[in-house]
Amino acid sequence: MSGNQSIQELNNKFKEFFLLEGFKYIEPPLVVNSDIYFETSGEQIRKDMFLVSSAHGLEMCLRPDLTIPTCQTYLQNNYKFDQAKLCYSGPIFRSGNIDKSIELNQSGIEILRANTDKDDNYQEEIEIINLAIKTLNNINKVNFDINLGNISIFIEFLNCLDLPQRWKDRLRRHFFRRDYFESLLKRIELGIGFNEARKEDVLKTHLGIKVDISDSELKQRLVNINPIEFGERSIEDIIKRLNIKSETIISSEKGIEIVRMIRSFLSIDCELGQLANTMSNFTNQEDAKQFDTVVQLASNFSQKIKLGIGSRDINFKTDFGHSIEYYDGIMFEIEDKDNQNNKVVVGGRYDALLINLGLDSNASAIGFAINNNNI
Amino acid sequence: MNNKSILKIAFPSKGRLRKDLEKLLSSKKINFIEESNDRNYIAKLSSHNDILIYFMGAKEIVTQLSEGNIHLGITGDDLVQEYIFDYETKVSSELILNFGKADLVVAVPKIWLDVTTMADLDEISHIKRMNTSKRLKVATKYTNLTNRFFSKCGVTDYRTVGSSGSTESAPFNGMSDIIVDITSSGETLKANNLRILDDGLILSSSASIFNSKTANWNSDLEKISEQFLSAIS
Repeated sequence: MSGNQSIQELNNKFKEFFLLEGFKYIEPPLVVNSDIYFETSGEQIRKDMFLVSSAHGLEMCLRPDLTIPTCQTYLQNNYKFDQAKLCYSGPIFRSGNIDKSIELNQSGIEILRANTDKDDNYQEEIEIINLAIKTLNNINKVNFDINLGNISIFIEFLNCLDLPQRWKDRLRRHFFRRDYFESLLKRIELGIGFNEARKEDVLKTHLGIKVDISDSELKQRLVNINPIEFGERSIEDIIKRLNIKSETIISSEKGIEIVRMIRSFLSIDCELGQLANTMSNFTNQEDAKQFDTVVQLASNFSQKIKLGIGSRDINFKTDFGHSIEYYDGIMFEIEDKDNQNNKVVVGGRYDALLINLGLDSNASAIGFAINNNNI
Repeated sequence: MNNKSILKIAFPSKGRLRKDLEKLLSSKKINFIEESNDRNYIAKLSSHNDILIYFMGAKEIVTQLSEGNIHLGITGDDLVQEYIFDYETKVSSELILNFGKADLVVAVPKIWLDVTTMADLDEISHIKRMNTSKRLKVATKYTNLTNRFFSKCGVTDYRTVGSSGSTESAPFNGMSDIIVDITSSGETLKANNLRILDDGLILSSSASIFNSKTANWNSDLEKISEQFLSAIS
């Protein structure tokens, strides 16, 4: 039982509500191919999942969430409903915390569209946040906090930094793994890049040559080595990356300055209506012009969302994120102030996931899930 | 003497570990007294009448420690950390022995001149996935330790490939791109044109005497255990 309502009653209540809101109810499979979870979250998610092998040796799992099976159902239907508004209710299975129930329960909605780009007016973002609020109101929950983040703003900020592209990509990719993200910042502070001494050391140790060697000479040396020793990588790949590493050197002094800016940016924490001002204050302390596009993006985002949501306060944090890494735009969660600030709703935009799952066109994908066990 | 006063210890049944252990016991003037068992899987020690020795494979020792069927077991750190989920709640290391030393390392083809750290591995695995939709393949017998270490290092675009034979040949026969394997001197890796990454040390392992926290213990057994440990330390 959850409060005065059983999980089953909650499931039915949410299902009926979402149907009235124009969503189509689907029942995604309980057992799904586990590959996509490893692809999105890495092998480490294995410890949180219940894995089984099919008779054909395929590795399957009890679904640890409902978003991915919902997307797969959408794709398997050959986009029959090509602007699908889908809803679901049911169990998910996670084994991470052995002291807690392995079977959790979620109800949620996903709005999926093929052959489209997200629009800059944030209409779908506004729609799902309003729907999440309305859904909670429908079960008489009115006292809650909304926390919001938007990784697009962080990505725009990274684009403005004087960092090698591969390091920008790395920071973006590991934004969700906070411990590792922190270790990346520490590495930047120490200075990055493959300096001449290190390059010389590697070439000398492995090929017996000094660093002042042209690419063509280096290639010639490598061509004479048995191709089997390269594994699946090509000589060109290795030389290209060796050069990129050597060309993009950030000194420790500069690294410390860049990390200071990143930390300062990620400490922005304000009511969404104040975001434009807060962001301007931040950039005024730095080189304001460098971050023009960040301020524009943040202002547009906060104005549109505030206009669409109304007077309710929304907490915005630049470092707000989730442990599930497929979100690639807005991310939000709602905490129940009457119940130990339990997270009752988690949602966001995840366009790239649909493409990773096999969609061969641009996509728009956004949704939220209610943690019924927390209600 | 009743069964509740017999301390059960598992020793490795073969290989280098057994030889090194016998050498250690012999230096302490402790000998095996074989029980009447055709295959010599059970023995007693000349020094301790209240200890029963079971000879098992190193991996089997790990299972029996985890399940509490033996009180002490001599095996490698690597196997304990690989095969016992949440191992710190099930076993504790009582004595680190001066043999069975080996490192579990991440090794790449030596000629990958641009790959010297785990961060490089993160980057090239991501590039591979973006360009080919395939993930970097890592051949290993140590799937759990590999996953934990790679996760800590932020490497996610990979899959482990089970290896039961000579793991060091896997990158060159198409089975994998890189390997995670145990090495004591690094010579075998070098001979196979592999190079350990600068920060690719996952674990420095050695043989240890482990205590099973899930076994049935009483004060008599604890005393016998202390006597045994002090006799061989």
